Amino acid sequence: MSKFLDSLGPELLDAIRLVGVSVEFESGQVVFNRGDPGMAVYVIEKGSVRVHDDDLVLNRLAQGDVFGEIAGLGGIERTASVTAEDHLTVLRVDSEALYEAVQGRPAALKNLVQMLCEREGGMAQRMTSRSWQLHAAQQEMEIGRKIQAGFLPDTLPDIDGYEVACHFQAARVVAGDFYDAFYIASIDRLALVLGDVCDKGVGAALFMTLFRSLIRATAQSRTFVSWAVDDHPGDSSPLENQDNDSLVIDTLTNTIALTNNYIATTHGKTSMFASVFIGLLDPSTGAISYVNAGHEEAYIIGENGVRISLPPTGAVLGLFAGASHDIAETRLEPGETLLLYSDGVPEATSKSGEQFTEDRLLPLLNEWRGGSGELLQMIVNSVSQFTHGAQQHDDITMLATRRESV
Amino acid sequence: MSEDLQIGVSKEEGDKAVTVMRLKGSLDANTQSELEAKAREAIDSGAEFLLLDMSGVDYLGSAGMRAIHAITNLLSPDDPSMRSAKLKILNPSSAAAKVFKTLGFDSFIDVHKSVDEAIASL
Repeated sequence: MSKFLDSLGPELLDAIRLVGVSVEFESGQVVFNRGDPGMAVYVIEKGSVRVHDDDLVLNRLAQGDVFGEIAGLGGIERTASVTAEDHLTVLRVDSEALYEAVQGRPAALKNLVQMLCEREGGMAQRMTSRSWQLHAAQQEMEIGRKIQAGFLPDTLPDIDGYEVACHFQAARVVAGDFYDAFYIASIDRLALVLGDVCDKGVGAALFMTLFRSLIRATAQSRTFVSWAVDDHPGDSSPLENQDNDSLVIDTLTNTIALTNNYIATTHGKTSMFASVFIGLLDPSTGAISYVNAGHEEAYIIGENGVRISLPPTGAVLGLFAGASHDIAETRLEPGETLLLYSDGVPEATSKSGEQFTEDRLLPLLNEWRGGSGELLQMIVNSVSQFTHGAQQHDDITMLATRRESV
Repeated sequence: MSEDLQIGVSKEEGDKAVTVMRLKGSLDANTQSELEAKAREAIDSGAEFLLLDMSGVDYLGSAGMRAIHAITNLLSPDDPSMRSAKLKILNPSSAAAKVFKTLGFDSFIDVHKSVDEAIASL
C-alpha cells in the first residue's frame, strides 16, 4: 500500500475503494488533456505518468501517487495534461461518487479536506521557492547586464572636427552586439569598431566581452604578440622604426589575426564567432583603413546619400584559425558620415513577420542631411515605427562618425 | 519552428564513407540543433565525409552557420586543419550562398555543383 493511500485514513480509503474503478492505459496514451472538464481523481496503482503542458514536463508520478484532484474535486477544467509513460493502471475515482460516499462519514470528509490542504500547502511552498529562484536568477542577470555595460565605452572620443554617436539596444537583458570607439595616440588614429557575436543572450554576452577586450587591448598595444594557429603565443615584435602608415596597417592586421586565432584555437569547439568591422580613421585626412570581417556593409553617406558601401574583406572572427583578411582603404570627406550597424537594424521584424531590410534603410540614408546623432535617432524612429511594438529579436547597434564640413 | 527544416539523409555507395544530407526549409536558431543531431547520428553510424545539399534552404541564419562549423568539429575533432576538408556544400540556394559569402565561409568550406564533383574532391 502506498504512503499516500496510508495517509488518507481508513475512512476515506474505504470510500475511495468503494467508488474507484480500475482503468488501464497503454504507454503514450493520454489520461486527460489540459482544458478537459475535471470529473475524477486518479490514484496510480501501477506504472507512471508525466504531467505536462505540451512539451513542457511539469512532473512525473509513479505508483501510489494521486493526480487530477484539483480539477477533479473542484469541477473545473484540467490545469495540465497527463500521459501514461508505460503500461498504466489507475484507480479512477469519480468525484460525484466520492462526494456521495463521504456523506455521512465525517472522518472521511475530514481526511479528504486534510489531504487537499496538505497538497495545496506543498504547492504553495513550491511556488514560493520557485519564485525566489526566479527572483535570484533575475538579479544575477541584472548584475550581468551592469557588468556587460562596462564593456561598452563610457564616453565616445571627442576628436576635433568629428562627431561620433552610438545607439545600443539589446534584445534581451544581455547582448552579443558591441561597439567601441577609442583614440590610439601612438599612431594618431581613431578606432571605430562594431561587432555582432552570433546567437543572443548569456552565451553571446560572454563572447562579446572576450572579442571586445582582445580587440581593444591589441589595437592599443605597441608590442605585437602573434597567436599561432596551434594555440600558443608566437613571437613578439616591438613596433619601432617604421613609418606611421605601416604601423597603422600592422595594428589592424595584428588586431584581427590575434583575436581570430586566439578564439578559434582556444574556443573553437564552441563554434562561436563574431562579425566585426574595425576601421582606423586618420583625423587629419579622413583616411580610413579597415577590415570588414564578415559584417554587414558599412556606408559612407555624403551630400547625395550613400556614396560608397564597404563590404566584407574577410571571414567572421573566431572560427578559422590562420584566416587572412584584406585591409581596404577609403576616405571620409568633409560633411560625410560613416555608418556602422548590426543586422538587428535590417532584420528588425514587424508583428506580421516582415523584415525592415536594407530596402527601407537605404532610402532613409539617401535623403539624410545632418549630424550623426540625429541620423541614428531617425533610423531608430523608423525602425520602431515599422516594428510597432513587436518583440525585438536581435540586438540593434549603430555607430555613426561624421566629419564636419570645412 | 522545428518542423521548418526537413533533412533527408542518404549514404553514397563507393570507397569513401560519404553521407549526403539534403536540407529543405529554414536553417536557423530553431533548427540548428536538429541538423547537428542528424549529423552526429550519421557520423556515429560511420560517415567520414558529409555533403550538405543546401539547394532547398530558403533561410540561413548565423545560428545555422554555427551548426555547420560545429559539424566540421564533429567530423574532425582532433585535427582542426582537416575540419573543412570533410564537409562539402552542394548547390546552395541564392539565400544560402549570400550568407556563405558575407560571413566568409566560402573561403574555408568548398561548394560543389554535384555529388560526383564533391566526392571527386575528397
